[in-house]
Amino acid sequence: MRGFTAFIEKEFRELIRTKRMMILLIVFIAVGILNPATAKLTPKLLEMEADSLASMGMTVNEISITALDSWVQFAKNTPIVLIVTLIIFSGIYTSEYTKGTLIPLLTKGLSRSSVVLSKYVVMFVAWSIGIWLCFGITYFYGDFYWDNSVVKGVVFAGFCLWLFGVMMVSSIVFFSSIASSAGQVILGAGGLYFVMMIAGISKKVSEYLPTKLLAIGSLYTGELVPSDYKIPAIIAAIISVNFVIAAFPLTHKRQI
Amino acid sequence: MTELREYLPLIIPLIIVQFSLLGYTLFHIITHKTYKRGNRMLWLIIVLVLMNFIGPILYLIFGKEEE
Repeated sequence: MRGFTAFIEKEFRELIRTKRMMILLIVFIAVGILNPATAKLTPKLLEMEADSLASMGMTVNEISITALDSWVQFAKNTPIVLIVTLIIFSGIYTSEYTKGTLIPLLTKGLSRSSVVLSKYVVMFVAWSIGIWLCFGITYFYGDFYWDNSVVKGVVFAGFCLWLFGVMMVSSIVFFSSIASSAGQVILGAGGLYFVMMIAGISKKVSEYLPTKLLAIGSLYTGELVPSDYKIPAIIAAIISVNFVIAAFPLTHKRQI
Repeated sequence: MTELREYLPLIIPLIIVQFSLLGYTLFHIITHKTYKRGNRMLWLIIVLVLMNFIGPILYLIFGKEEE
């Protein structure tokens, strides 16, 4: 236990000193502001383009922007932020394995499980802080310019995106225990997403896939209710737990 | 003018975040001689051309050496 707390402290220090936390926070804050900004500027941009659009035979009518547009941007932009998060954390295990920086600690009695777990906790906390910060900023501007009450299930939609992110972060833990470089980890996580996307072509299967957690647009408009997302949410949670659990024996067997 | 004022609460924080990121990144590129990949000229061009967040973030992820 002492090894775990000491190592987790080291991990948080590393996150701050390598400026990774700063990069993440800036990305999350920027996207949090960009969501309402994009929604707010859309009518202005269309107005400016009205002439060239008219020459192509399109007429632009008055568009009314509500908080919904801002939240749709939130749903659209969060996967991009998730990709940045995954790239930043892709080398969190493998760089230590290849550089051999873990060997002195492991020979002094630090258990491999604490290494796996503490790095996971760091990623989990960083992602959670980031996504809810982004959510909070979008929420603040939603109330500032429009009215958030026209949008349904805002918090639950945020939870869906967060859960999907947690699953992807867990996949990093799993792939790191078998991969030998950051590139392979990203390839694994990307492959997982790709497989889910291909499987999601079938309408029946897509009802159960965690990728459904990303399609929260219909949740905002009220076409779907939170209970429709129950099964994908549970499956995502099960997958994340299994990824982390499977990483323990694999890391124990691994040659470092 | 009144229209612009409506956008200010969005624009001001964006500009602050963007330029502090750009300033930090340029400072880091100029004060360092070696990078994970690429060279100083390449990174300066990338950061200045894609200065809207993308360039600096690309540098910080792929170019900045861990010390």
